[in-house]
Amino acid sequence: MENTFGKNIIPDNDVERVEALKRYKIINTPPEHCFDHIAGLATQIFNVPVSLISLVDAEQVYFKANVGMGKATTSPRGVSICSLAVLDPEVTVFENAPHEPCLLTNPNVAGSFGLKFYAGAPLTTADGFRIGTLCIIDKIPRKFDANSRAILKSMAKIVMDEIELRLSSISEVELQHQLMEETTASNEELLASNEELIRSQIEVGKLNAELSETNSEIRAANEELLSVNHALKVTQNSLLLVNAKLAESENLKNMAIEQADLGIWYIDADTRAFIPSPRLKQFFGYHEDETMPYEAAVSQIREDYSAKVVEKINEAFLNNESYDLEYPIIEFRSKRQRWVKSTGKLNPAEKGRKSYFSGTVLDITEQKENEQRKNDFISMVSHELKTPLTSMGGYIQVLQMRADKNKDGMSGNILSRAYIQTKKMSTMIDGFLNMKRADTGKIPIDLKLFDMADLIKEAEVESLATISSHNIIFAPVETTPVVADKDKVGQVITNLINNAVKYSPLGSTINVACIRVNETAQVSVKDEGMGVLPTDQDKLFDRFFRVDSKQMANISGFGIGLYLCDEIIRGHGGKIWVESELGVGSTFYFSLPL
Amino acid sequence: MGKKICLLEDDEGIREIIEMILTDEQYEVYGFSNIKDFMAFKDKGKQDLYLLDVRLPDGNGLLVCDDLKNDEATKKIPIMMMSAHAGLNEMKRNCKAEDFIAKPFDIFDLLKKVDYHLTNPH
Repeated sequence: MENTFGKNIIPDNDVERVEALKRYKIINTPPEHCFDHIAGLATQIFNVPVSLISLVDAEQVYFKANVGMGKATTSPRGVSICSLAVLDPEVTVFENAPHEPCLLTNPNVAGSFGLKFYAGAPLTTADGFRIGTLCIIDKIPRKFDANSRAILKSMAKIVMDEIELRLSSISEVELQHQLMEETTASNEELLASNEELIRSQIEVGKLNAELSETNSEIRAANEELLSVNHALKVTQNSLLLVNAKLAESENLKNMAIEQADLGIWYIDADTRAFIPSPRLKQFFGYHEDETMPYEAAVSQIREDYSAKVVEKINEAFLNNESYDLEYPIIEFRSKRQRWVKSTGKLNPAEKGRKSYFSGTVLDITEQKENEQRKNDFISMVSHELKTPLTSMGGYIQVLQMRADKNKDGMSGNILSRAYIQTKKMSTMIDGFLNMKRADTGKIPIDLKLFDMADLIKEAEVESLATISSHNIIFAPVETTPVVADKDKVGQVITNLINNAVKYSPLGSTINVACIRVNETAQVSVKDEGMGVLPTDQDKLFDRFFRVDSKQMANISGFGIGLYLCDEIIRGHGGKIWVESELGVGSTFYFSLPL
Repeated sequence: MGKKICLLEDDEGIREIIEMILTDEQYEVYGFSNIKDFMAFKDKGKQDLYLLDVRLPDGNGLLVCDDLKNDEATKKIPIMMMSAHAGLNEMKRNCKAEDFIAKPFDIFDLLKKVDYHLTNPH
């Protein structure tokens, strides 16, 4: 920095002083009326041409007010005499400047301006910094007394007050400004926030709507859940009830199985494993905890029944039918014989369950033994009855011969009737005996080749000789060779004809025929009798079955005739059936394979 | 003298009637009511026909038939079995007797069969 004064013009505290100046925000600002006025007042009071209010910055001196010094606004610090004036707390006065050693080279003094007088009072801040001066300048030398100095100093104090005032007003304005800016900013922020809020509100509204929708959905779902819950409760109750009933029925079933002394088994559809119940194992002589394989069970069927039973069981399973068989088994350890009634069937698949085989086995040993005793009894009684019948028949026949020899027609006639009665009785006894045999499953069938035409002829001869109550017509029969038991088949024909006689009105017609139909010999016996209800037709061939009606009340019989016919025909692999219309008549058929 | 017929029948009534009608037909009839007496009969081998019942108090007529058929002295004499048993067919299969007749029988049938076996020796 240029220094025209030849001595130090920078005080020790210059940095702080410059800072203090800057605080007032007055450097390099346009002229202001109040400062110009004070400077003007100073020129008038002290009668000088120039007065300045200077502010001494680090490098430059700024003139805040300038009266009489042209348009100058600044001066370098090393040139302006105010730089000297701020060094002294008192008023600095140069009464005749060209004589002052420090001002000898000063352009203001030595230059064209020709400065001769200078007086400057420092502008001192409240905290003691001298930031500038109020000075007066003249081009002629002057005397400046103490009074003048005091006045200048006071005026400098006024300037300082103004500067302070100005700062405070600036601060106020700035504060206002700042506040306004802040307010504006806040406003904007508020607006923005507002918009944000509005947007948020819209969002919230939307969310709210969604929420309320969701809410109502939840409510609906809740209600549904409640009703489902209720339904579930109802279902649960029903299930509990069903469960209880199932348990009860299971109980009853088990009781029934126990009471009936039933052994049960099933064959698992997946593993094909044979699963017998404990009772069933007992029947076969096994302990409850022992395994009893299917093959073992089969091998315990009595030899003479084994093949037939196995065949029937396999056949039933293969054709999806059920079976119902009676056969003797030999117990595993004791080798004791036990009769069983065995049933089985294929249970077809149902929802969620595969098909499986199951069956029951009932111990019928006692029943069989009773049956045997009954059969033995029948056999014995029949035999015992036949014996006197034989001699009685013989006696009657001997008498008959005598009557014939003696030409006693009346006696002969009576005796022949008596003989017919013994024959009837004999036939009846044969029936009982045969029934016994059918029961034990062995009506002996003695197969021989013969001609059906011959058999029908014999039947014709016999019926013509014995039956005069009905008109029996035998249709001509072609030669029809069959392999069968002639006596038994003859018995069936006789039985059917006798039945026709028994159940149709006196004098009505009975037609007997034998024709070939589809590789069978088919015999038919047609009557004009009372006929049979459709519901009774199948039962006709059951043992001891008799149609329950008023008409039947007067017709005797045991209900074994057709049962035996059925047994005999089935024993031949044939078929027996009836076609009938109530009140019109019946036709009984049987067919034998050729 | 007529042909000799040996009758084994335990029922007195039947035995009587058979004896009656056969005697009437000029046959010589020897009647027995049990196997023991029949087997003790010395002239067993001199008969022309045996009429045997099956069910007898001291045994089975079928076994008697077997004995007779296994005995050189009697095996050629025809045998007729008589039975009230319904299983005659079965019986026929297991018995060597020449003929069978079911009780109760028609006496004319019996006479026909007897005549047949006596006039057609085997």
